[in-house]
Amino acid sequence: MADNNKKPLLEIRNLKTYFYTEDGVVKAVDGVDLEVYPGEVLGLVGESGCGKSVTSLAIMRLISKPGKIVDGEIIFDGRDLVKLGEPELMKIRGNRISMIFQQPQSALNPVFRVADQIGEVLEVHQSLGKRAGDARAIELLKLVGMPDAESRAKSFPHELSGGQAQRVMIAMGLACVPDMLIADEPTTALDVTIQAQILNLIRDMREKFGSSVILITHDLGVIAEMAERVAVMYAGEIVEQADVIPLFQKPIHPYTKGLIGSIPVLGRVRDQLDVIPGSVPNLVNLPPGCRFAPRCQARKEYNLSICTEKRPALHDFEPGHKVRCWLYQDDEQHVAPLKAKKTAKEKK
Amino acid sequence: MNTLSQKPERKPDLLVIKDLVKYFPIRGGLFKRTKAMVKAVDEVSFTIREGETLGLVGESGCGKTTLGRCILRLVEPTSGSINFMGQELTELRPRAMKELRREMQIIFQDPIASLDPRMPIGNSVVEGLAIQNIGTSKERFEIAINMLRKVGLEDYHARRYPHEFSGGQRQRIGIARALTLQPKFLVCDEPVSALDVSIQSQVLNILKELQRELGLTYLFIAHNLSVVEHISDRVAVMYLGKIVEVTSRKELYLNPLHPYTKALLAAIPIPDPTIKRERLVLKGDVPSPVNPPSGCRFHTRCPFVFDHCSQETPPLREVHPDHWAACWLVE
Repeated sequence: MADNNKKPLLEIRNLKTYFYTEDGVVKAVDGVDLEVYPGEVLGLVGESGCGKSVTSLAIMRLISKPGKIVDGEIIFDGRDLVKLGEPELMKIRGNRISMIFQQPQSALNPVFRVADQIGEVLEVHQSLGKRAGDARAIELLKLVGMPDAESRAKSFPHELSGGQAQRVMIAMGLACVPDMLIADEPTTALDVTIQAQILNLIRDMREKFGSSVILITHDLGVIAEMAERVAVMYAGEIVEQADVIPLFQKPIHPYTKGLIGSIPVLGRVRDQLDVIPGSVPNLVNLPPGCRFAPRCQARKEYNLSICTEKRPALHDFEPGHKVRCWLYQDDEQHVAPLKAKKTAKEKK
Repeated sequence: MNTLSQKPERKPDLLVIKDLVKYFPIRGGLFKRTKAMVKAVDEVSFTIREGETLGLVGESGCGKTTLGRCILRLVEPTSGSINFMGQELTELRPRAMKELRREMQIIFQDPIASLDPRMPIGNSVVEGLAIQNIGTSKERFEIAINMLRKVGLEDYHARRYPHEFSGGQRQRIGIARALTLQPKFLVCDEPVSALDVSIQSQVLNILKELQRELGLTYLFIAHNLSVVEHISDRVAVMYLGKIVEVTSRKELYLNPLHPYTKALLAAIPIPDPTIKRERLVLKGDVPSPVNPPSGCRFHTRCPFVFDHCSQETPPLREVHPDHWAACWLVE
């Protein structure tokens, strides 16, 4: 739960990350504002291509050509990461902010033993020697629940199962007790029973180390179980942001509503699932106005023309609940229908 | 008469599978001798009734895809019997099997890999008809357009190539192609797992509508139990080449008997943050199907394991009417 008195650990302001490809400029992240408070789990949810992974790579400053951070600030503990040089970033990456990836098997180096890879992090950031590094690596592997940690430490990545490899990634990510852990789809490549193990592990580690976690996933179930606050992304922007319970109980953006309605829920069988018609827009050729407008049913119901003309901003709907939608906010010549309804009621 | 008609009528069996086995040899050495066997499907028996959807759920490597392909004889089973509408498939000669494939079709997981990139999708959709020598090419094109309309695509799409479509559209093309021969039975092998959630619901709804309209029978293979529960009438749970539990979807959810099913149900994250559930987290990984554990294959991870489990394989028994489970603990 976001404590408003606390200072955010990470503050992203108007982040824009574009990719300059032959087909045109891909606006993967286009004006994202986000803050992460110390010790919280922030869920970042959206479908493939919505920019959630690019946001996390931008925080780590791992965007490479043809991509570029074109605008915005990423303020971490008082410093703007966008302006930092490579030597300074090296001190932060893996030390104060670390990251675990979706495909643990391909994120690990295939030709080094597990202990050496964990040891490398300790060598770079804490100047530990080989022997001390190995000992600490085994300690970390035990901590993340690796069965038979001593012998696994000598294994190569191909000798590990997917769940074990993800445990190694987590051990590596936590080696320097970071302030923030970014987990990019950490369980998507794993089976459900293994996913449950890894989610439990991330939860335990968060409690033990007190790190903030940004959990990126497309799975709303994982978000509901893990996150305290949630940001929903669509086509490069955040469309809704709230604490986890209001987001699921009272979603207000038509996209969030559609997303929640479209997933089958275990034990609550419905005859028909809700459908969001159409598909995600091309990020090179974005529709003018609201990016969700071409698929939005609510817009048609209220017969709004502004949606296809002007891009809505992320506004406070209630304290701590932000939404980017013309149904809820005013523009100079425009009164949002749902708000108009509300004020009409109040007048009565 | 009245008392009888009130009872839900048990539909006739369309497909009866008995003791189906599929081992894949692992060869190696100088003369490529068989060194070991991957026991992908090991003595599996179940039935699928006319007009129903049987969900087949299990984790990766449990043999669910191999089982689906064995039924169509896209993979030759090692032994066992597959009886489809009274015919024994394992004994059919290739020509007869080809004839019968009109009645049984498959939708694959990866819609990109399963469409020929150089063939307009209108042709892909009716390739089955061409192979079976049905109609002239003009008639076939008509059928293609009709099928595309049925799955929510437009006429002009017939002349386009697979790369011009999104993932959800490609999966609809896969469905259209499977249905042109008007089959009775369709194997859906993870048809929605490559799709985004908002697209997934479109495809699931289409599958349900088509089933109602055309009276299809599905074997729906997936690893996502929420999806399986949504679409299935009955569900079979598979673990390491064996079916461990089969029952109606309601019974499976409300009264799971096998510890693996229970763990699977508990492991699925529910998109409702107010629900606090008892966590039953399994230890360890799925063992290799090359060297499956002795006795009950789940005994290495089972929280309720006792001596007998590692000694003898529990049979799949009908514990309650229409509720089958393979576990020594279940009386």
